[in-house]
Amino acid sequence: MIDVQIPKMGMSTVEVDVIRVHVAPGQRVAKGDVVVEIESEKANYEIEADADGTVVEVLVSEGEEAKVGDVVVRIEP
Amino acid sequence: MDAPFATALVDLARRREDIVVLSADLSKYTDVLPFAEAFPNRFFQVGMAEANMMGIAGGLAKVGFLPIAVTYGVFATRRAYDQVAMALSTGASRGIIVAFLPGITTPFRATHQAIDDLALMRALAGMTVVDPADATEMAAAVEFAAAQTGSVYVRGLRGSVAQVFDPNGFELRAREVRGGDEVGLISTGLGTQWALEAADMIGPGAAVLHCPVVKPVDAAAIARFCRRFAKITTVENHSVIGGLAAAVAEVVTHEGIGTRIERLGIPDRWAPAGSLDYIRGELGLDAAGIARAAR
Repeated sequence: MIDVQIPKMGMSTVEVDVIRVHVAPGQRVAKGDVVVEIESEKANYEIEADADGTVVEVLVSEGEEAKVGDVVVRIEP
Repeated sequence: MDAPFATALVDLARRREDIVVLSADLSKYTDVLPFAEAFPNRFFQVGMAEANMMGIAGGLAKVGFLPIAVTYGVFATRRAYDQVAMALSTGASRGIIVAFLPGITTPFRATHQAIDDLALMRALAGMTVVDPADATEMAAAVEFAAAQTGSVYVRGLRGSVAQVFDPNGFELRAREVRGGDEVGLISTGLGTQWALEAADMIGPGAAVLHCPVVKPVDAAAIARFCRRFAKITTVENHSVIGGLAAAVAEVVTHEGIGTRIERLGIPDRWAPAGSLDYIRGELGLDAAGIARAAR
């Protein structure tokens, strides 16, 4: 299982806003596909799948806040 | 240490009823929410309007408050420069600007990189400029700024900020934070953490003079330090133009000291996007790069 996490983008990055969730459980993804779009520090940032596989769980919702290190999506390779 | 600015700000505000805080749509990202929750009647969310925020700050100062305007460095300086000059630098009105995302601490490029803010603020008449190096200095800078008689620009550090200096009996001033007689480094802000990493790599002969106040600099401390070395290296989280390197060069030339100055910082271009470690490596600001240049 591969956990896709909120990255520590900058030294000051603590929390981010989830703007858009691009995937749903059961969906096939390829490495590099955008799975979640977040906003932090007045800029948007796309989080990509770390590997090819199937999304088994989405742990965030659009509009909610997440912390650096939080798992947003789980992928079964 | 988590959120040193937030803690220091609330502590100061408990003792001083004239403290008011202004935010331009960045409360969550600049550690002012604890203040807003503790003192809702002294907190002003002005929206995404930094220039207006500086004007409001000037007005609040005119009627007896000490305004603290909090935003990002790029917005406080490049976007609102004229308003800072007119509202907070021309007359009796004085305020404190706390500006986060200094230098290359942002993962983004020119939109967010405040690599010229020290230069811009140093050029404003009467403005004091502070670049804290760690959590201890971030907290001390709040007290220092409140105790001044003119306006003060403070670079902000947020989130989990490293604590390099012991807060007990701490005083915000230029000081040699590492002794040595072979290699001289002068640094400010996060550049001091980087200079100390490099000094450890160089060995026991490397000395580091840390200057948290970039304007007015402690000219006597810089002159004494420079006289000990044929070459000194400045290290800063800022363009090599107009910041610490320029301040040191002004002292060296004014005093007629023959020390050569090697300037380390962001060269005359925007830094790449990426993590802090990545950008430091690309710009030769990692410990090995600084040590190589300083020897």
